[in-house]
Amino acid sequence: MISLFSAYKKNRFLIAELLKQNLFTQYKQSKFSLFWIVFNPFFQIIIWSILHLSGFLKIGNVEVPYVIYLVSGITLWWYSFSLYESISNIYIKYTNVILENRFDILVLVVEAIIRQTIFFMIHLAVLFVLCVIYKITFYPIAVLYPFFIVPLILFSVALGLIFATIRVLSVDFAMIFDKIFGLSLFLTPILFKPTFNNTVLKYIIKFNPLSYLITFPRNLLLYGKSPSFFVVIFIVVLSITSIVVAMMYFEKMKYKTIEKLLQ
Amino acid sequence: MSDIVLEITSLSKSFSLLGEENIFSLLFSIKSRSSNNIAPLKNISLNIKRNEIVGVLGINGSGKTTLTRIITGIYKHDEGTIIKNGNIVAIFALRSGFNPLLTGRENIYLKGAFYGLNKKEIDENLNEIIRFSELEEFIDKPLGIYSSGMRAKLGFAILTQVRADLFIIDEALAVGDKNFRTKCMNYLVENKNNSSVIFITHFQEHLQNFADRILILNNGMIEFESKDYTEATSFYNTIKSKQIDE
Repeated sequence: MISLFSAYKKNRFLIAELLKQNLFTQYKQSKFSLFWIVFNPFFQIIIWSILHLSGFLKIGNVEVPYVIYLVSGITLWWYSFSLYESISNIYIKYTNVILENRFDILVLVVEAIIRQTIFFMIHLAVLFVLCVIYKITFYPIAVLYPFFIVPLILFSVALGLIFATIRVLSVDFAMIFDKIFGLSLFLTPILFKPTFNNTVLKYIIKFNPLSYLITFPRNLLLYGKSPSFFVVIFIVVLSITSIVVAMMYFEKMKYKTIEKLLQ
Repeated sequence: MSDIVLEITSLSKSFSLLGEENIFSLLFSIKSRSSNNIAPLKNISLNIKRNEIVGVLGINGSGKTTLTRIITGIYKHDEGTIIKNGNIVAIFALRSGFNPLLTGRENIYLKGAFYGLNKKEIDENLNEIIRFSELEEFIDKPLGIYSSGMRAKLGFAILTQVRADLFIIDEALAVGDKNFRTKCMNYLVENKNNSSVIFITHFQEHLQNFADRILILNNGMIEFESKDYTEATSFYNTIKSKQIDE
Protein backbone atom coordinates (compact mmCIF):
# COMPACT_ATOMS: atom_id res chain seq x y z
CA MET A 1 0.00 0.00 0.00
CA ILE A 2 2.85 2.33 0.87
CA SER A 3 4.35 1.67 -2.59
CA LEU A 4 1.02 2.60 -4.21
CA PHE A 5 0.78 5.87 -2.25
CA SER A 6 4.41 6.61 -2.99
CA ALA A 7 3.85 5.97 -6.73
CA TYR A 8 0.87 8.37 -6.59
CA LYS A 9 2.80 11.06 -4.74
CA LYS A 10 5.82 10.97 -7.06
CA ASN A 11 3.90 10.71 -10.34
CA ARG A 12 0.75 12.79 -9.92
CA PHE A 13 1.10 14.55 -13.27
CA LEU A 14 1.71 11.34 -15.22
CA ILE A 15 -1.25 9.68 -13.47
CA ALA A 16 -3.46 12.69 -14.28
CA GLU A 17 -2.42 12.57 -17.95
CA LEU A 18 -3.06 8.81 -18.19
CA LEU A 19 -6.41 9.26 -16.47
CA LYS A 20 -7.38 12.03 -18.87
CA GLN A 21 -6.29 9.88 -21.80
CA ASN A 22 -8.25 6.83 -20.63
CA LEU A 23 -11.39 8.67 -19.55
CA PHE A 24 -11.73 10.95 -22.55
CA THR A 25 -10.46 8.80 -25.38
CA GLN A 26 -12.54 5.77 -24.35
CA TYR A 27 -15.73 7.60 -25.27
CA LYS A 28 -14.29 10.45 -27.34
CA GLN A 29 -16.14 9.45 -30.48
CA SER A 30 -19.44 8.95 -28.61
CA LYS A 31 -22.08 11.65 -28.13
CA PHE A 32 -23.48 9.90 -25.03
CA SER A 33 -20.28 9.08 -23.17
CA LEU A 34 -21.69 9.46 -19.62
CA PHE A 35 -24.71 7.39 -20.60
CA TRP A 36 -22.48 4.47 -21.68
CA ILE A 37 -20.46 4.63 -18.45
CA VAL A 38 -23.68 4.33 -16.45
CA PHE A 39 -25.46 1.98 -18.82
CA ASN A 40 -22.90 -0.84 -19.09
CA PRO A 41 -23.37 -2.32 -15.59
CA PHE A 42 -27.04 -1.31 -15.51
CA PHE A 43 -27.73 -3.45 -18.53
CA GLN A 44 -27.29 -6.38 -16.11
CA ILE A 45 -29.80 -4.77 -13.77
CA ILE A 46 -32.40 -4.56 -16.53
CA ILE A 47 -31.93 -8.27 -17.35
CA TRP A 48 -32.20 -9.39 -13.71
CA SER A 49 -35.16 -7.11 -13.03
CA ILE A 50 -36.99 -8.64 -16.02
CA LEU A 51 -36.20 -12.16 -14.75
CA HIS A 52 -37.42 -11.18 -11.29
CA LEU A 53 -40.64 -9.65 -12.61
CA SER A 54 -41.30 -12.70 -14.80
CA GLY A 55 -41.08 -14.96 -11.73
CA PHE A 56 -38.06 -16.94 -13.00
CA LEU A 57 -35.83 -15.76 -10.19
CA LYS A 58 -36.46 -16.72 -6.56
CA ILE A 59 -34.74 -13.93 -4.70
CA GLY A 60 -35.79 -14.73 -1.14
CA ASN A 61 -36.89 -12.09 1.35
CA VAL A 62 -34.59 -9.12 0.73
CA GLU A 63 -36.61 -6.68 2.91
CA VAL A 64 -36.10 -3.76 0.48
CA PRO A 65 -37.34 -3.22 -3.10
CA TYR A 66 -35.53 -5.74 -5.33
CA VAL A 67 -34.00 -3.08 -7.57
CA ILE A 68 -32.33 -1.46 -4.54
CA TYR A 69 -31.00 -4.82 -3.32
CA LEU A 70 -29.73 -5.61 -6.81
CA VAL A 71 -28.12 -2.23 -7.55
CA SER A 72 -26.42 -2.00 -4.16
CA GLY A 73 -24.85 -5.43 -4.68
CA ILE A 74 -24.09 -5.30 -8.38
CA THR A 75 -22.44 -1.88 -8.05
CA LEU A 76 -19.96 -3.35 -5.58
CA TRP A 77 -19.39 -6.50 -7.63
CA TRP A 78 -18.89 -4.47 -10.80
CA TYR A 79 -16.39 -2.22 -9.01
CA SER A 80 -14.46 -5.25 -7.77
CA PHE A 81 -14.50 -6.93 -11.20
CA SER A 82 -13.47 -3.71 -12.99
CA LEU A 83 -10.55 -3.17 -10.61
CA TYR A 84 -9.41 -6.76 -11.18
CA GLU A 85 -9.85 -6.57 -14.94
CA SER A 86 -8.16 -3.22 -15.53
CA ILE A 87 -5.20 -3.92 -13.21
CA SER A 88 -4.68 -7.46 -14.49
CA ASN A 89 -4.45 -6.10 -18.04
CA ILE A 90 -1.86 -3.36 -17.45
CA TYR A 91 1.09 -5.25 -18.95
CA ILE A 92 -0.88 -6.22 -22.05
CA LYS A 93 -2.51 -2.82 -22.58
CA TYR A 94 0.69 -0.84 -22.06
CA THR A 95 3.29 -3.23 -23.56
CA ASN A 96 4.94 -0.62 -25.81
CA VAL A 97 4.80 2.10 -23.19
CA ILE A 98 6.45 -0.19 -20.60
CA LEU A 99 9.18 -1.35 -22.98
CA GLU A 100 10.02 2.15 -24.17
CA ASN A 101 9.72 4.35 -21.10
CA ARG A 102 11.41 4.12 -17.71
CA PHE A 103 8.73 4.74 -15.10
CA ASP A 104 7.22 3.09 -12.05
CA ILE A 105 4.70 0.51 -13.32
CA LEU A 106 2.66 1.01 -10.15
CA VAL A 107 1.63 4.31 -11.76
CA LEU A 108 -0.56 2.26 -14.11
CA VAL A 109 -2.10 0.42 -11.14
CA VAL A 110 -2.86 3.68 -9.31
CA GLU A 111 -4.39 5.17 -12.47
CA ALA A 112 -6.62 2.10 -12.89
CA ILE A 113 -7.77 2.32 -9.24
CA ILE A 114 -8.64 6.02 -9.58
CA ARG A 115 -10.42 5.50 -12.93
CA GLN A 116 -12.54 2.61 -11.66
CA THR A 117 -13.32 4.53 -8.47
CA ILE A 118 -14.66 7.42 -10.56
CA PHE A 119 -16.97 4.98 -12.40
CA PHE A 120 -17.98 3.46 -9.05
CA MET A 121 -18.91 6.93 -7.71
CA ILE A 122 -21.14 7.47 -10.76
CA HIS A 123 -22.86 4.11 -10.14
CA LEU A 124 -23.18 4.94 -6.45
CA ALA A 125 -24.85 8.26 -7.33
CA VAL A 126 -27.42 6.32 -9.37
CA LEU A 127 -28.01 4.03 -6.37
CA PHE A 128 -28.66 7.04 -4.13
CA VAL A 129 -31.11 8.48 -6.65
CA LEU A 130 -32.96 5.14 -6.64
CA CYS A 131 -32.98 5.13 -2.82
CA VAL A 132 -34.55 8.59 -2.85
CA ILE A 133 -37.17 7.44 -5.39
CA TYR A 134 -38.01 4.37 -3.27
CA LYS A 135 -37.91 6.47 -0.06
CA ILE A 136 -35.20 4.29 1.54
CA THR A 137 -33.83 5.83 4.71
CA PHE A 138 -30.29 5.04 5.76
CA TYR A 139 -29.14 4.09 9.27
CA PRO A 140 -26.58 6.42 10.90
CA ILE A 141 -23.92 3.70 10.71
CA ALA A 142 -24.13 3.98 6.88
CA VAL A 143 -21.75 6.97 7.08
CA LEU A 144 -19.01 4.39 7.59
CA TYR A 145 -19.77 2.86 4.17
CA PRO A 146 -16.64 4.30 2.46
CA PHE A 147 -14.43 2.65 5.09
CA PHE A 148 -16.27 -0.66 4.82
CA ILE A 149 -15.58 -0.99 1.09
CA VAL A 150 -11.81 -0.66 1.65
CA PRO A 151 -11.36 -4.44 2.20
CA LEU A 152 -13.15 -5.13 -1.11
CA ILE A 153 -10.86 -2.63 -2.89
CA LEU A 154 -7.72 -4.17 -1.38
CA PHE A 155 -8.79 -7.71 -2.25
CA SER A 156 -9.71 -6.78 -5.86
CA VAL A 157 -6.47 -4.84 -6.37
CA ALA A 158 -4.55 -7.83 -4.97
CA LEU A 159 -6.19 -10.19 -7.47
CA GLY A 160 -5.47 -7.70 -10.26
CA LEU A 161 -1.78 -7.45 -9.32
CA ILE A 162 -1.32 -11.22 -9.15
CA PHE A 163 -3.11 -11.86 -12.43
CA ALA A 164 -1.32 -8.99 -14.21
CA THR A 165 1.80 -11.15 -13.99
CA ILE A 166 0.01 -14.44 -14.65
CA ARG A 167 -1.71 -13.00 -17.75
CA VAL A 168 1.73 -12.50 -19.33
CA LEU A 169 3.39 -15.70 -18.13
CA SER A 170 0.48 -18.10 -18.49
CA VAL A 171 -2.47 -16.60 -20.30
CA ASP A 172 -4.60 -19.75 -19.90
CA PHE A 173 -4.55 -19.49 -16.09
CA ALA A 174 -5.63 -15.86 -16.32
CA MET A 175 -8.44 -16.66 -18.74
CA ILE A 176 -9.73 -19.43 -16.49
CA PHE A 177 -9.74 -17.02 -13.57
CA ASP A 178 -11.56 -14.37 -15.66
CA LYS A 179 -14.37 -16.89 -16.17
CA ILE A 180 -14.41 -17.83 -12.47
CA PHE A 181 -14.64 -14.16 -11.50
CA GLY A 182 -17.45 -13.66 -14.01
CA LEU A 183 -19.23 -16.68 -12.54
CA SER A 184 -18.88 -15.22 -9.04
CA LEU A 185 -21.72 -12.83 -9.90
CA PHE A 186 -24.03 -15.83 -9.56
CA LEU A 187 -22.20 -17.37 -6.61
CA THR A 188 -22.27 -14.32 -4.39
CA PRO A 189 -25.46 -13.03 -2.72
CA ILE A 190 -25.90 -10.20 -5.22
CA LEU A 191 -28.84 -11.20 -7.40
CA PHE A 192 -30.66 -13.18 -4.72
CA LYS A 193 -30.55 -14.04 -1.04
CA PRO A 194 -29.03 -17.53 -0.69
CA THR A 195 -31.87 -19.39 0.93
CA PHE A 196 -31.72 -22.52 -1.26
CA ASN A 197 -31.09 -26.07 -0.05
CA ASN A 198 -28.36 -27.21 -2.46
CA THR A 199 -25.41 -28.12 -0.21
CA VAL A 200 -22.71 -27.57 -2.86
CA LEU A 201 -23.94 -24.08 -3.67
CA LYS A 202 -24.24 -23.31 0.03
CA TYR A 203 -20.59 -24.27 0.54
CA ILE A 204 -19.40 -22.29 -2.48
CA ILE A 205 -21.15 -19.18 -1.23
CA LYS A 206 -19.87 -19.80 2.29
CA PHE A 207 -16.24 -20.04 1.16
CA ASN A 208 -16.45 -17.32 -1.48
CA PRO A 209 -14.66 -14.28 0.01
CA LEU A 210 -16.76 -11.92 -2.13
CA SER A 211 -19.84 -13.06 -0.20
CA TYR A 212 -18.43 -11.31 2.87
CA LEU A 213 -16.63 -8.45 1.16
CA ILE A 214 -19.79 -7.41 -0.72
CA THR A 215 -22.53 -8.20 1.81
CA PHE A 216 -20.57 -6.47 4.57
CA PRO A 217 -20.87 -2.91 3.17
CA ARG A 218 -24.27 -3.56 1.56
CA ASN A 219 -25.92 -4.83 4.74
CA LEU A 220 -24.54 -1.85 6.54
CA LEU A 221 -25.98 0.54 3.97
CA LEU A 222 -29.41 -1.06 3.51
CA TYR A 223 -30.13 -2.70 6.85
CA GLY A 224 -27.78 -0.90 9.25
CA LYS A 225 -26.41 -4.35 10.23
CA SER A 226 -22.76 -4.85 10.99
CA PRO A 227 -21.39 -8.41 10.79
CA SER A 228 -20.13 -10.45 13.70
CA PHE A 229 -16.74 -9.69 15.21
CA PHE A 230 -15.23 -12.84 13.65
CA VAL A 231 -16.43 -11.88 10.17
CA VAL A 232 -14.89 -8.42 10.57
CA ILE A 233 -11.58 -9.96 11.66
CA PHE A 234 -11.73 -12.40 8.72
CA ILE A 235 -12.38 -9.56 6.24
CA VAL A 236 -9.57 -7.38 7.62
CA VAL A 237 -7.03 -10.21 7.74
CA LEU A 238 -8.00 -11.46 4.28
CA SER A 239 -7.74 -8.05 2.61
CA ILE A 240 -4.46 -7.03 4.27
CA THR A 241 -2.82 -10.40 3.70
CA SER A 242 -3.91 -10.53 0.07
CA ILE A 243 -2.60 -7.05 -0.77
CA VAL A 244 0.74 -7.67 0.99
CA VAL A 245 1.26 -11.01 -0.78
CA ALA A 246 0.14 -9.55 -4.12
CA MET A 247 2.48 -6.55 -3.86
CA MET A 248 5.41 -8.81 -3.00
CA TYR A 249 4.63 -11.15 -5.90
CA PHE A 250 4.14 -8.26 -8.34
CA GLU A 251 7.47 -6.65 -7.36
CA LYS A 252 9.36 -9.97 -7.38
CA MET A 253 8.06 -10.90 -10.82
CA LYS A 254 8.20 -7.42 -12.40
CA TYR A 255 11.40 -7.79 -14.43
CA LYS A 256 10.68 -11.34 -15.49
CA THR A 257 7.20 -10.30 -16.66
CA ILE A 258 8.53 -7.35 -18.66
CA GLU A 259 11.09 -9.59 -20.36
CA LYS A 260 8.33 -11.93 -21.50
CA LEU A 261 6.11 -9.19 -22.93
CA LEU A 262 7.34 -9.54 -26.49
CA GLN A 263 7.63 -13.34 -26.51
CA MET B 1 31.42 15.29 -10.23
CA SER B 2 32.78 12.19 -11.98
CA ASP B 3 34.00 12.54 -15.56
CA ILE B 4 32.36 9.22 -16.40
CA VAL B 5 28.58 9.39 -16.70
CA LEU B 6 28.08 5.67 -17.31
CA GLU B 7 30.37 2.80 -16.41
CA ILE B 8 29.47 -0.73 -17.48
CA THR B 9 31.70 -3.68 -16.53
CA SER B 10 31.36 -7.28 -17.77
CA LEU B 11 27.63 -7.01 -18.33
CA SER B 12 25.79 -10.12 -19.51
CA LYS B 13 22.14 -10.92 -20.04
CA SER B 14 20.30 -14.04 -21.11
CA PHE B 15 16.61 -14.75 -21.67
CA SER B 16 14.77 -18.01 -21.26
CA LEU B 17 12.11 -18.46 -23.87
CA LEU B 18 8.45 -18.54 -22.87
CA GLY B 19 7.25 -22.12 -23.26
CA GLU B 20 10.66 -23.58 -22.40
CA GLU B 21 10.16 -23.31 -18.63
CA ASN B 22 7.74 -25.38 -16.59
CA ILE B 23 4.77 -23.53 -15.15
CA PHE B 24 6.02 -23.42 -11.54
CA SER B 25 9.47 -22.07 -12.33
CA LEU B 26 7.76 -19.55 -14.60
CA LEU B 27 5.16 -18.32 -12.11
CA PHE B 28 7.44 -18.34 -9.05
CA SER B 29 10.63 -17.14 -10.75
CA ILE B 30 12.58 -20.27 -9.86
CA LYS B 31 15.75 -20.76 -11.93
CA SER B 32 14.98 -23.45 -14.48
CA ARG B 33 17.41 -25.96 -15.92
CA SER B 34 16.38 -25.03 -19.42
CA SER B 35 19.37 -24.93 -21.72
CA ASN B 36 17.47 -23.08 -24.42
CA ASN B 37 18.42 -19.65 -23.16
CA ILE B 38 19.39 -16.92 -25.59
CA ALA B 39 22.13 -14.50 -24.61
CA PRO B 40 21.67 -11.14 -26.31
CA LEU B 41 24.55 -9.55 -24.36
CA LYS B 42 27.86 -11.14 -23.41
CA ASN B 43 30.54 -9.51 -21.30
CA ILE B 44 29.95 -5.89 -22.30
CA SER B 45 32.26 -3.25 -20.83
CA LEU B 46 31.73 0.37 -21.71
CA ASN B 47 32.47 3.84 -20.32
CA ILE B 48 30.71 7.02 -21.45
CA LYS B 49 32.40 10.31 -20.61
CA ARG B 50 30.56 13.51 -19.88
CA ASN B 51 29.70 15.53 -23.04
CA GLU B 52 30.67 12.64 -25.29
CA ILE B 53 28.60 11.42 -28.26
CA VAL B 54 29.05 7.69 -28.78
CA GLY B 55 27.60 5.91 -31.79
CA VAL B 56 26.68 2.24 -31.51
CA LEU B 57 26.31 0.42 -34.81
CA GLY B 58 24.81 -3.02 -34.96
CA ILE B 59 22.83 -5.15 -37.34
CA ASN B 60 19.34 -6.34 -36.38
CA GLY B 61 19.49 -8.76 -33.45
CA SER B 62 22.93 -7.64 -32.28
CA GLY B 63 21.62 -6.67 -28.80
CA LYS B 64 21.27 -2.89 -29.24
CA THR B 65 17.78 -2.52 -27.78
CA THR B 66 18.44 -5.00 -24.94
CA LEU B 67 21.52 -2.96 -23.99
CA THR B 68 19.45 0.24 -23.97
CA ARG B 69 16.72 -1.36 -21.86
CA ILE B 70 19.26 -2.64 -19.33
CA ILE B 71 21.03 0.72 -19.04
CA THR B 72 17.69 2.44 -18.57
CA GLY B 73 16.55 -0.07 -15.94
CA ILE B 74 13.65 -1.60 -17.88
CA TYR B 75 15.41 -5.02 -17.89
CA LYS B 76 17.59 -6.41 -15.12
CA HIS B 77 21.06 -7.72 -16.05
CA ASP B 78 22.31 -11.15 -14.95
CA GLU B 79 26.00 -10.40 -14.45
CA GLY B 80 28.29 -7.39 -14.28
CA THR B 81 27.91 -3.90 -12.87
CA ILE B 82 26.39 -0.65 -14.08
CA ILE B 83 27.36 2.62 -12.39
CA LYS B 84 25.26 5.64 -13.38
CA ASN B 85 26.54 9.08 -12.43
CA GLY B 86 23.51 11.10 -13.41
CA ASN B 87 20.07 11.01 -14.90
CA ILE B 88 19.62 8.80 -17.97
CA VAL B 89 16.78 9.19 -20.48
CA ALA B 90 16.28 6.68 -23.30
CA ILE B 91 14.35 7.32 -26.46
CA PHE B 92 13.46 4.18 -28.35
CA ALA B 93 11.12 5.30 -31.06
CA LEU B 94 10.11 8.91 -30.99
CA ARG B 95 6.62 7.90 -32.01
CA SER B 96 5.93 5.64 -29.02
CA GLY B 97 3.85 6.62 -26.00
CA PHE B 98 1.54 8.76 -28.14
CA ASN B 99 -2.22 8.38 -28.29
CA PRO B 100 -3.64 8.71 -31.83
CA LEU B 101 -7.01 9.96 -30.55
CA LEU B 102 -5.47 12.91 -28.71
CA THR B 103 -4.28 16.06 -30.49
CA GLY B 104 -0.60 16.87 -30.95
CA ARG B 105 -0.87 19.44 -28.14
CA GLU B 106 -2.47 16.91 -25.75
CA ASN B 107 0.18 14.35 -26.66
CA ILE B 108 2.93 16.81 -25.71
CA TYR B 109 1.60 16.70 -22.15
CA LEU B 110 1.24 12.90 -22.16
CA LYS B 111 4.69 12.15 -23.60
CA GLY B 112 6.26 14.92 -21.51
CA ALA B 113 4.84 13.28 -18.38
CA PHE B 114 6.52 9.99 -19.35
CA TYR B 115 9.83 11.86 -19.69
CA GLY B 116 9.35 13.16 -16.15
CA LEU B 117 8.38 16.73 -17.03
CA ASN B 118 5.72 18.38 -14.88
CA LYS B 119 2.80 20.52 -16.07
CA LYS B 120 4.52 23.82 -15.28
CA GLU B 121 7.62 22.86 -17.28
CA ILE B 122 5.51 21.84 -20.27
CA ASP B 123 3.31 24.96 -20.05
CA GLU B 124 6.41 27.17 -20.02
CA ASN B 125 8.05 25.41 -22.97
CA LEU B 126 4.97 24.52 -25.03
CA ASN B 127 5.53 27.17 -27.71
CA GLU B 128 9.18 26.19 -28.07
CA ILE B 129 8.22 22.51 -28.47
CA ILE B 130 5.64 23.35 -31.15
CA ARG B 131 8.10 25.66 -32.94
CA PHE B 132 10.88 23.03 -32.94
CA SER B 133 8.47 20.36 -34.24
CA GLU B 134 7.52 22.58 -37.24
CA LEU B 135 3.93 21.33 -36.76
CA GLU B 136 2.17 24.59 -35.90
CA GLU B 137 -0.64 23.96 -38.40
CA PHE B 138 -1.37 20.45 -37.16
CA ILE B 139 -0.81 20.77 -33.43
CA ASP B 140 -4.54 20.79 -32.57
CA LYS B 141 -5.38 17.95 -34.96
CA PRO B 142 -5.63 14.32 -33.73
CA LEU B 143 -2.32 12.49 -33.92
CA GLY B 144 -4.02 9.74 -35.92
CA ILE B 145 -3.73 11.89 -39.04
CA TYR B 146 0.04 12.53 -38.57
CA SER B 147 2.57 10.68 -40.71
CA SER B 148 5.30 8.67 -38.94
CA GLY B 149 7.77 11.46 -39.76
CA MET B 150 5.49 14.08 -38.17
CA ARG B 151 5.17 11.98 -35.02
CA ALA B 152 8.95 11.63 -34.85
CA LYS B 153 9.27 15.42 -35.16
CA LEU B 154 6.88 15.94 -32.28
CA GLY B 155 8.69 13.30 -30.21
CA PHE B 156 12.09 14.92 -30.67
CA ALA B 157 10.69 18.40 -30.03
CA ILE B 158 9.42 17.24 -26.62
CA LEU B 159 12.81 15.71 -25.92
CA THR B 160 14.52 19.07 -26.39
CA GLN B 161 12.93 20.19 -23.11
CA VAL B 162 14.07 17.14 -21.12
CA ARG B 163 17.17 17.54 -18.97
CA ALA B 164 19.43 14.49 -18.62
CA ASP B 165 23.11 13.71 -18.15
CA LEU B 166 22.89 10.96 -20.75
CA PHE B 167 20.47 10.50 -23.62
CA ILE B 168 20.27 7.11 -25.28
CA ILE B 169 18.68 7.39 -28.71
CA ASP B 170 17.81 3.95 -30.05
CA GLU B 171 16.87 4.02 -33.74
CA ALA B 172 14.73 7.02 -32.88
CA LEU B 173 15.67 9.09 -35.92
CA ALA B 174 15.24 6.28 -38.42
CA VAL B 175 12.05 7.88 -39.73
CA GLY B 176 11.32 11.42 -40.84
CA ASP B 177 12.88 13.63 -43.49
CA LYS B 178 16.62 14.16 -43.83
CA ASN B 179 16.44 17.89 -43.05
CA PHE B 180 14.71 17.30 -39.76
CA ARG B 181 17.20 14.53 -38.88
CA THR B 182 20.06 16.98 -39.53
CA LYS B 183 18.29 19.56 -37.36
CA CYS B 184 18.04 17.00 -34.54
CA MET B 185 21.71 15.96 -34.89
CA ASN B 186 22.79 19.60 -34.84
CA TYR B 187 20.71 20.17 -31.76
CA LEU B 188 22.44 17.25 -30.00
CA VAL B 189 25.91 18.50 -30.99
CA GLU B 190 25.15 22.09 -29.94
CA ASN B 191 23.84 20.91 -26.57
CA LYS B 192 26.74 18.55 -26.03
CA ASN B 193 28.04 20.65 -23.14
CA ASN B 194 24.97 19.71 -21.17
CA SER B 195 24.61 16.01 -21.90
CA SER B 196 26.27 12.89 -23.26
CA VAL B 197 24.58 10.90 -26.00
CA ILE B 198 24.62 7.23 -26.99
CA PHE B 199 23.24 7.09 -30.51
CA ILE B 200 22.22 3.56 -31.46
CA THR B 201 21.46 2.76 -35.07
CA HIS B 202 21.99 0.34 -37.90
CA PHE B 203 22.32 3.18 -40.42
CA GLN B 204 26.04 4.04 -40.45
CA GLU B 205 25.54 7.31 -42.36
CA HIS B 206 23.65 8.71 -39.33
CA LEU B 207 26.93 8.79 -37.42
CA GLN B 208 29.11 10.63 -39.98
CA ASN B 209 30.49 13.92 -38.63
CA PHE B 210 28.48 13.34 -35.48
CA ALA B 211 29.89 10.68 -33.15
CA ASP B 212 33.10 11.17 -31.15
CA ARG B 213 33.53 7.41 -30.96
CA ILE B 214 31.84 4.45 -32.67
CA LEU B 215 31.31 0.99 -31.18
CA ILE B 216 30.31 -2.02 -33.24
CA LEU B 217 27.95 -4.39 -31.44
CA ASN B 218 27.70 -7.87 -32.91
CA ASN B 219 26.28 -11.09 -31.43
CA GLY B 220 25.86 -9.35 -28.08
CA MET B 221 29.51 -8.28 -27.82
CA ILE B 222 31.39 -5.06 -28.55
CA GLU B 223 33.61 -6.34 -31.35
CA PHE B 224 35.23 -3.11 -32.45
CA GLU B 225 35.75 0.45 -31.25
CA SER B 226 37.20 3.42 -33.09
CA LYS B 227 37.20 7.21 -33.18
CA ASP B 228 37.62 7.03 -36.92
CA TYR B 229 34.34 6.91 -38.88
CA THR B 230 35.86 5.25 -41.99
CA GLU B 231 37.61 2.56 -39.95
CA ALA B 232 34.50 1.78 -37.91
CA THR B 233 32.13 1.67 -40.87
CA SER B 234 34.53 -0.50 -42.83
CA PHE B 235 34.44 -3.08 -39.99
CA TYR B 236 30.66 -2.74 -39.79
CA ASN B 237 30.29 -3.34 -43.53
CA THR B 238 32.32 -6.54 -43.21
CA ILE B 239 29.88 -7.81 -40.57
CA LYS B 240 26.91 -6.82 -42.73
CA SER B 241 28.34 -8.64 -45.77
CA LYS B 242 28.97 -11.76 -43.65
CA GLN B 243 25.34 -11.67 -42.53
CA ILE B 244 24.13 -11.40 -46.14
CA ASP B 245 26.38 -14.33 -47.15
CA GLU B 246 25.01 -16.50 -44.33
